[in-house]
Amino acid sequence: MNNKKLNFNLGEFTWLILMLAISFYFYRLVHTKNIYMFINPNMVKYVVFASGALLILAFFQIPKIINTLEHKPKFGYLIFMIPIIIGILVNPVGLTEQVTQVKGVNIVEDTTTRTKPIINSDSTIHQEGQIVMEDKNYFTFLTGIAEEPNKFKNFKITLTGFVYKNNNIKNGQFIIARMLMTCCAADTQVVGFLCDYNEQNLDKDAWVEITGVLDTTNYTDSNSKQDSLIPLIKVQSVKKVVPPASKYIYINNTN
Amino acid sequence: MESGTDFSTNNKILTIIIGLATLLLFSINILRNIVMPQINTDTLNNFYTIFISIVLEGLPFIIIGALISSFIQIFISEENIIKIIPKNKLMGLFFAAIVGLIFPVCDCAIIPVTRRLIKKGIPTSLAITFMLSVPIVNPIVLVSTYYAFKGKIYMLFARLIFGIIAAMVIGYLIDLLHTGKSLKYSIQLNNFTPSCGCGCHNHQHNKQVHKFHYLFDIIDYTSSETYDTGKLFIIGALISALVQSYIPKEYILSIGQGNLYSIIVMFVLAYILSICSQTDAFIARAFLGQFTIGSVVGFLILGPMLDIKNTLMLTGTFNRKFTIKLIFLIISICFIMAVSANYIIPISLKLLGGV
Repeated sequence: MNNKKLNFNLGEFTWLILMLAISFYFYRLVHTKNIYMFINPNMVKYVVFASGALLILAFFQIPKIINTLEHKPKFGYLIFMIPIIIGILVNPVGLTEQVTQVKGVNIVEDTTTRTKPIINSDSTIHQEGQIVMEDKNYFTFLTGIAEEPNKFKNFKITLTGFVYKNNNIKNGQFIIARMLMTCCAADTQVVGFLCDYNEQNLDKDAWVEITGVLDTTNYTDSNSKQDSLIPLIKVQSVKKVVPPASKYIYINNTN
Repeated sequence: MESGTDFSTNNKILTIIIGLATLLLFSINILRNIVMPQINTDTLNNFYTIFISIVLEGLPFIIIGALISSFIQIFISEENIIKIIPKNKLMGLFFAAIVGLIFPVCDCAIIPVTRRLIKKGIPTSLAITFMLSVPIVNPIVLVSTYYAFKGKIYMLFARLIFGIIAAMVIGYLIDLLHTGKSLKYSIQLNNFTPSCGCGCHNHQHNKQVHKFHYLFDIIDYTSSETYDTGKLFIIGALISALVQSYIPKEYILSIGQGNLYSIIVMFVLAYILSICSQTDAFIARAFLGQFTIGSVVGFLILGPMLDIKNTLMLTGTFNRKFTIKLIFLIISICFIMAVSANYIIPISLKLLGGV
């Protein structure tokens, strides 16, 4: 029992500081609402839990600084510093439109062997076949229209998104795209509709609101060389808009 | 307490290597920016965003897993666990595979729990089946799969059934392939008996416990489990974010189509995307039009079992030989499952007249 003298354990102390730092970082993200750039609002409660849990763990860590004798700082502590450092250094802006370059854009939906239509057309669509896509109903309309392009032919549609173009897309066409987040930025997909528009050349990544009429077209996938019938919007008017506050469309399991 | 020193040697080398690799990747990243200032800062920004978001999404569940693991450690005794395991091996495997139905834990949280169960004396084969099936067969994942494949309910059943079969087969075979210890030597020693923070230096808790000790013990175990799993998880998140933001998906998709190639493509995607099992169905549905149905099922069952962050966490738990065998088994069994799903699903749909 020669441990009477006061002892300061650096390893335990580092772990305490790290837990506090991560806890505080999580809290600050939630507090500043910056967290919505990283994860779906549904998931925020888990981050709050983690922040609280780490705080409690850190609290009980305090006596160990004095009581534990052998515990050197571990190399692994360095790893926990990575997210903290990145979090401090980087001003969060969320995913940018450039992500389409690595993630690609999905405009093809599997149309085979579905037994039940997604959209109950009578209830969800406004009068006279006018579709207004907003953040809340975006996912439902997107999948519903892509499933049955023929059913929605000649419907009028209004939606907002950013302009995406690549080599596979013909002149006079573009994709109006949105980022779709299920859970976190890692599972974000870029989705959208193919548009036909000849009047002016739109800049890539510009945010626009378009109004047009739905039509269908055959699209050949560059990899599979497979033809599929996809919806096409014949654009009537384009309006430049400022990017929305929330760039993502969040998928909500409950609706 | 003496074992505390040699605990780190093995672990330390691994950590140092991984850490150095990470730093290297990092410095490459920074160098690229210094050397080529014209490089798109967007890419770097997307990398940060993906990395932080994986950490934000996963760390809470790592802590939950650590918490469950410490509860098992404190409150469930070895004898009780042995008692509830069915004697029949097949029954045991099936039981382990469907525990997930009432145990909603995702793929990040399951590894500390599995590690604890093996230490508590659960046979390795059962523990592996449990570990592989829970992220697939759990209510939250099933609900999200249902929503992702709205109107195609057969995808939900395909995921469930093929997932259970794959987990059972892997659990069964791992027993034949590997005899002896499966955990890392250092973990086997059960050495990180954390000192309790209460200031008393008598560690015979089992004899004279007072309620306060339980609390301290749980906190202690949770803390060290969070550290052990968390460090590997963060590295995994880092690598996954790097790959995702620097390698265009098109390169992977261009590996090919067809019955077999499409499975490989989906496996590679599942491996590097490292997304939680409750969200991967939403990604998978986008591929249903372009790839065979079997490959999408393969994506749905392989993803929860094996991905970049998972691999790192496995190496931190099991010894090297065991990890290699396990990964080999997971990939090959899931491949077989995917190939057979290619044939079975269309046939069964025809028989059932489309569910």
